[in-house]
Amino acid sequence: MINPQSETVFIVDDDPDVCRAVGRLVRGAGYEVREFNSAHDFLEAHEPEPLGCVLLDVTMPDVDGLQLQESLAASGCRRPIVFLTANGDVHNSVRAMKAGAVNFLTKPVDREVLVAALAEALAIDAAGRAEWETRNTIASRLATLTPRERQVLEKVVAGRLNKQIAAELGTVEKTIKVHRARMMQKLHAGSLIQLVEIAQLAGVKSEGASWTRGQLPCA
Amino acid sequence: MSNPPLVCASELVTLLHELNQPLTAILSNAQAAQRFLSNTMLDRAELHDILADIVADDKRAVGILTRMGQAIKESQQPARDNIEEGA
Repeated sequence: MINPQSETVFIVDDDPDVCRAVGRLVRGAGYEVREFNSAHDFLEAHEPEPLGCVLLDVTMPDVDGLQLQESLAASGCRRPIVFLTANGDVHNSVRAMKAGAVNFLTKPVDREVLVAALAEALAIDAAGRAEWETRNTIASRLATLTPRERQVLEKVVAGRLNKQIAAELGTVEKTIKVHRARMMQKLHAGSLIQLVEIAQLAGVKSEGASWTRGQLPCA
Repeated sequence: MSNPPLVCASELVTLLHELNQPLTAILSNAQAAQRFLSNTMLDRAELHDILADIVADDKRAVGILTRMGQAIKESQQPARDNIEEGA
C-alpha cells in the first residue's frame, strides 16, 4: 500500500534500465516511485487513490503510451500524465496534449526539466482532487434537503424574493423564510453569494433564472 | 549505373531511437548520483549500483553505435561493387 499522504510518480517504460535510472532520479527528488515495464503491468497494479502522476514512455510494445492514456481516461481516472519520448514526434505530442497530457518531454531528459514537469502534474492532481472533494461534500449536503427546501433553493438562486417564492409555492413568506434558513444551514452557506457558488458547483438548475451569469440575484 | 541505396533509413532511425535509451539511463543515473552525493547520509551500496548501471548502459550505447556503423557500411557495399564492376 502506498502512503496516501505522499506524492507518487508512476513510471511506465518498457526499458528496465531507463525505468530504474529515472526512478532513482525521481526518488531523489523526494517522491514515492512505482516502476512498471509495460502498460499492462501498470493497469493491473495501479492504485487510483494516492496523490500522484504518471511518467509515461510513448513507444512501448503491445500497448503504447498513447493507448494507455486513452484507457486511463476511459476508466474515468484523471491522473495527470507527463510523457517521455525518444523522439520529439510532433504528431504524437499534439495528440497526447490534446488528450490532456500535462507535458511531453524528450529523452534524454534533464533533471530540472523533469522535476518541474512532475511538480506541475502533481499540483494539477491535487487541485483536481480538492475540487472533486468539494463537489462530493456539496452533493451529500444537497441530498439532505427536503423537496420543499430544494424548491426554495432553486428559486432563491434564480433571483426570486421570499415574497415571490411564497406566492409561487402557494404559502406565506414566513414559511419560506424558515425553509430558506434551514436550507442555507444544511448547505453551510453563510451568504447568498456562497449559496449561488455552491449551487453552481453542484449544477443546481435555477428555476426560471431572471439574472444572467456573473450577476447576483438580490436578496 | 543505379544510385547507391541510401543508408537503410528506417533501420538507422530505429537504432538512433534505441541509442536514446542508454543515454537517458546514463544521464538520469548520473544526476541521481549527484543528488545522492549532496545527502549527508550517503548510501554507498546505492551509489555502487548506479555506477555499475552507468558502465553497463555506456557499453550498451557502444553496441548500438557499432550496429549503426555496420548498417552504414552494408548500405555502401553494393555501390562499391558497382564501381568495381564498371572499372
